[in-house]
Amino acid sequence: MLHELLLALLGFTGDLIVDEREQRKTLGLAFNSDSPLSDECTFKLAPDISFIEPSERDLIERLIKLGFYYRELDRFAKKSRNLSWIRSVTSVHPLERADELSKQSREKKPSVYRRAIANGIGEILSVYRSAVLHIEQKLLAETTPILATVTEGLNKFFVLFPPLYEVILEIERDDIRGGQLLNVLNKRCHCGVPELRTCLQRLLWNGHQVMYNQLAAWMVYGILQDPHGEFFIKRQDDGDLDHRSSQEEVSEKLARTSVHETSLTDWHSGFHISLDMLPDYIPMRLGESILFAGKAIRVLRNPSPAFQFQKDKSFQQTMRGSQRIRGFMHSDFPETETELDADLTGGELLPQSEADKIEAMLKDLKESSEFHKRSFECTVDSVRAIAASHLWQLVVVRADLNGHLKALKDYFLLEKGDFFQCFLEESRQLMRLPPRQSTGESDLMVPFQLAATKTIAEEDKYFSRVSLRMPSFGVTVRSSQADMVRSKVSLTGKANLTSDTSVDGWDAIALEYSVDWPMQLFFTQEVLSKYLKVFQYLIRLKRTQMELEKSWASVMHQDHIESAQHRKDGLNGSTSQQRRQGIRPMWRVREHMAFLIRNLQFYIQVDVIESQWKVLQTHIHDSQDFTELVGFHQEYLSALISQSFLDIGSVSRILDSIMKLCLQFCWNIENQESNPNTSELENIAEEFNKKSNSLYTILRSSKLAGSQRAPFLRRFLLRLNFNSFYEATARGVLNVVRQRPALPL
Amino acid sequence: MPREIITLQVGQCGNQIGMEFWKQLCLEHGISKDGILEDFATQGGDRKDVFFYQADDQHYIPRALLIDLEPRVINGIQNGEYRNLYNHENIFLSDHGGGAGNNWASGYHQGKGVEEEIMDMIDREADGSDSLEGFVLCHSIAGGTGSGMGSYLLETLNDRYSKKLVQTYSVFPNQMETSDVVVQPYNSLLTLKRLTLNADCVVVLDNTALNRIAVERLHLTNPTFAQTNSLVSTVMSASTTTLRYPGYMNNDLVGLLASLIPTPRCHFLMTGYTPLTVERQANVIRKTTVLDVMRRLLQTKNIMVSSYARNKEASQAKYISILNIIQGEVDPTQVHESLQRIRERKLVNFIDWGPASIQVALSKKSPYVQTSHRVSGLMLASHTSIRHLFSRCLSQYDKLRKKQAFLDNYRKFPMFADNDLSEFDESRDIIESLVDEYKACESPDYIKWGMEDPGQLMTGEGNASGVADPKLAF
Repeated sequence: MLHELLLALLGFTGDLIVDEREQRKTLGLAFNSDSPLSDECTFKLAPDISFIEPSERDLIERLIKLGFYYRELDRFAKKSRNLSWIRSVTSVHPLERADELSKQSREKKPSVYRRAIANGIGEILSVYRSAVLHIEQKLLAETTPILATVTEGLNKFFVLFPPLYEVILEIERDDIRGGQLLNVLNKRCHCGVPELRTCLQRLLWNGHQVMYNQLAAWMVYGILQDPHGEFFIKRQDDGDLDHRSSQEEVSEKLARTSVHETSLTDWHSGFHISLDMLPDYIPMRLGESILFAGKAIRVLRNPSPAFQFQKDKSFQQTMRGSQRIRGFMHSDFPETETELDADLTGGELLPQSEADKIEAMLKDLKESSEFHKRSFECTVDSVRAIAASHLWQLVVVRADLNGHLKALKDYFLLEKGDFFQCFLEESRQLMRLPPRQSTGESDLMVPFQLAATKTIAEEDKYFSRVSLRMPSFGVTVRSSQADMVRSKVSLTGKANLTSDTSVDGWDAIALEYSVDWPMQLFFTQEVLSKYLKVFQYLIRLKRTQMELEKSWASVMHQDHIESAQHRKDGLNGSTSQQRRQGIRPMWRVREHMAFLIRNLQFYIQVDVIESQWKVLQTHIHDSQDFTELVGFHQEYLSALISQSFLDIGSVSRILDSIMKLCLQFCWNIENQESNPNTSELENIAEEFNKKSNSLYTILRSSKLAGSQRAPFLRRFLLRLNFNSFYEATARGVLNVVRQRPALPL
Repeated sequence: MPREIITLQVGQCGNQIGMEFWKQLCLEHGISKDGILEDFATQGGDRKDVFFYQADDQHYIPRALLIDLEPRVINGIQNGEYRNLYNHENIFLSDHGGGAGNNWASGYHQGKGVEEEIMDMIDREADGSDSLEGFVLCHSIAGGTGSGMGSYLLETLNDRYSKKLVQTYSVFPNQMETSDVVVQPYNSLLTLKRLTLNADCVVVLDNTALNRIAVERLHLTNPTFAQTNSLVSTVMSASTTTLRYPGYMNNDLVGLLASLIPTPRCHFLMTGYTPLTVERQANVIRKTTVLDVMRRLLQTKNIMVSSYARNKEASQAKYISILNIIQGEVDPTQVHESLQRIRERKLVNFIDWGPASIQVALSKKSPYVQTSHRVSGLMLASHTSIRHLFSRCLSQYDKLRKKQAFLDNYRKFPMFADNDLSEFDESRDIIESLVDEYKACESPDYIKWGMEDPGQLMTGEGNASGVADPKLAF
């Protein structure tokens, strides 16, 4: 009887103590063994036993519940700890393995976390087992009231087992895995029973061990060690890949020749945070930090072979480059960097000492018995900081970020004015005709190369990265993007300029900038497309400005030629005088146009680009952190776009049509140098006056004045309206001296 | 190699300021006295090829023609320390070496005589450039060679290179002290006509103002020519910085000039420079802000053209256009603030008839020249008060002409043979109309100026000049 009871306590039923379920099964009742576990204890004292008092029966029934729980917990632990799937995976052929995997996934996906928990449960169960053993020994040694001793000895498990059972029930029922498992445990940890709490904490600790291991793999080696898709950082792949074992993944990665390419796609879109698996008590921010740190380590650990090679070759250059940056920033970087440069061998972008440091930090966390959110946060933050600063070093110092930024400013923001001037000069004839669909780009290459040899020669090592694109209409993706911008503008612009839209095709000129590893981290396609947007705008402005200057020069020449003729022929100058007076209004219009375009350019170049550049430079100088850097650069770009009004539809539309008018005006004058078609010119002039007035009105309108852009608008307005001419004209046009709320200019 | 500019330095004064200009350019680009790039000058980012070309032996040679009718100054250059800089084929000296005797007519006439020879030199230089943008002429308007021959060259360039720009740096005589050249008013008037009709842009360098600046601002009691010339070379080199250190804008002469000259005739520019120093001054690094620079540039005492305007007229004088070229370490955000301050304090008086503003071009500074100032600025401006300078020329001319003084010297030459002085009268008319145009610019009605009756301008001038007969000779 005693042994029957003790065995039952260890989950083995017999004649005396029966499992109702099994009984029912043997009775042939329809009862599937795989059916969900019952919440109720199914151990019962056999009802046909009559020699036990009802009170004793109650007591025994209460006790044997423990046995039931034990059995179920043990079953869970065994099942979860079953490692047979590994054997099956490794022994089977890859092809079959896929089958196997899919089969397994159809059944139940194995879970590392669950196994860890199961280990924890196993520990508790062994405590229980030894308690049972202890009771048996005690009972065999001396005669004591059996039931009382048993109850006394196992009393504390009454608190533990039922909740634990509930936990495993929940786990089994909902197939809870990974981070969620931690989540469940963490929630359950908040209870008032001290024994239960420590017990659950132990389980949680077990779970955390797995997480820390994964974190360590991720943040120290940049490897995603997550065979069952339980980590809260996930590869952005199809579902199948998740199942592959991590070793498989790593070896595969290494085998690939273009490691750097994958590592770059990894950076941008390769990994993401899986919200399902992110335990609630780890905030999103931390999750992102972890994601970043791991990605950074990944990048640092897998430098592109080309980069290393280049490194060795142009070592001197880099040294000089970094020194230049240093000089530029007026401060010295820690000397260690130069030393690092000196002993640069592949893969040493992240020194071992740093990796060890990260590992040690994670180890400390791992060892602490309780999960402290604060210390976890601290560690993650410091790891992130380490990763970010190394990435910063890689990008800023090694890969010469400043040089690239400067090059982008030179070419995309037109700081190399002489180059673009030369280019536009050379391509001027070409651009008078609509671009040819097929050869547009190659047509442009000639002046582009010519301009390059004339103005840049070999001076600029960055120039080789810049290439010109003339998207043929709507063929490539990129061009359609560019065309979209164009079509939007032309749609909103003027409809009746259809004959000219083809000439406007040149406005789609695009630049491309090729970046080497690891700069793609920084100059993403998105960033470059923003640069391109500004570039297309600026080059249009420049073209307009040059055309206006051209017409200035040609009229000036006309004047000289006339005076020369006058001198030679000795004719009375009144006819030429008359003509001079005749073209005077045209001079005025031209000057207004030039003024507007010029001031817009000066505004963009000085007030926007140079000012923002300065801000960016100070930021880069102060910052040692890659993520911050990316943020600053984003700010810089969006400031460029918004402050040059590219994102204010009303303003950019008007500016666009003004540029068009200017070009029309210049072409008109040029085409009819001898005999200007005054009526058409007058039309253009009138249209221009209207537009420039409405530009002024828009800029002054209270709607924009109240917005956060007001300061920039006011800056442009100050330049435009410096001598209050626009103000006066606007009043004259409106013909009413309206009392406007005076804008502080 | 875009946008080359060929410099013609004509006459004594032209060669002197030209030489200073090249000295300064050599310093700024790190080119040695012999035209070889210094070892330290490796920084790049500058365009030497606008003003220099590279000979086969790596010599940088100025695209300059040194022209004079008397040998003194050019001999000085040829024996000086910069003798190896220039291309000796580009030096023209008249065979007789007798100069032009401070006679415009002589210079002009001699110019005609040697046209072939000089044009050959110019053609050769032009052939050697890829896309010639234009010419810069350095000369004085008072003497004989610079004024007379310079005038002839201006006309010839207009004919031969009608599509090229011509900018001049013209030194106006010191009108405060009595000049040794008594016929100075004649020469000035005749040259001014060519400057008005044949040049695209004239940078006026007024010796009177240069002297005043040297005395008042640099505290030199008796400024030498070398000292005033160094002021000139500073201005000349500063006004070309945007061409030599290309940035966003104003990278070519056209861009530079088009922004300053809204109407074709009003192409006379004033300059201002700050901070002014001579080399001997104590080397104190001063903190100069953009606002300081821009404010000082608007002060008349820093402007290198004297204002002869009476107070009432001075208050009516207006800026037609301003371009400030600011070099050095500039905080770009300061530019806006400075503009705002200047507008608030009404420090600058602009025309009413068109849009106008202070354009500020930020330019790099030569890394090889150490200056005591972080920021320096040059102002190029078209200002209506320049008409008073011309008026003064006119009145001096009138005084001399009334007396029929010294005309015999001119009658010796074909242009004025047979007592044909119509050239004087025509020149006077043109200058007068120039003065009128500048005056009209001061009123808001400039747009309508000369519009109602195109003929009125000519007749009006005729009446105002008070000379009736020269018209008949036309």
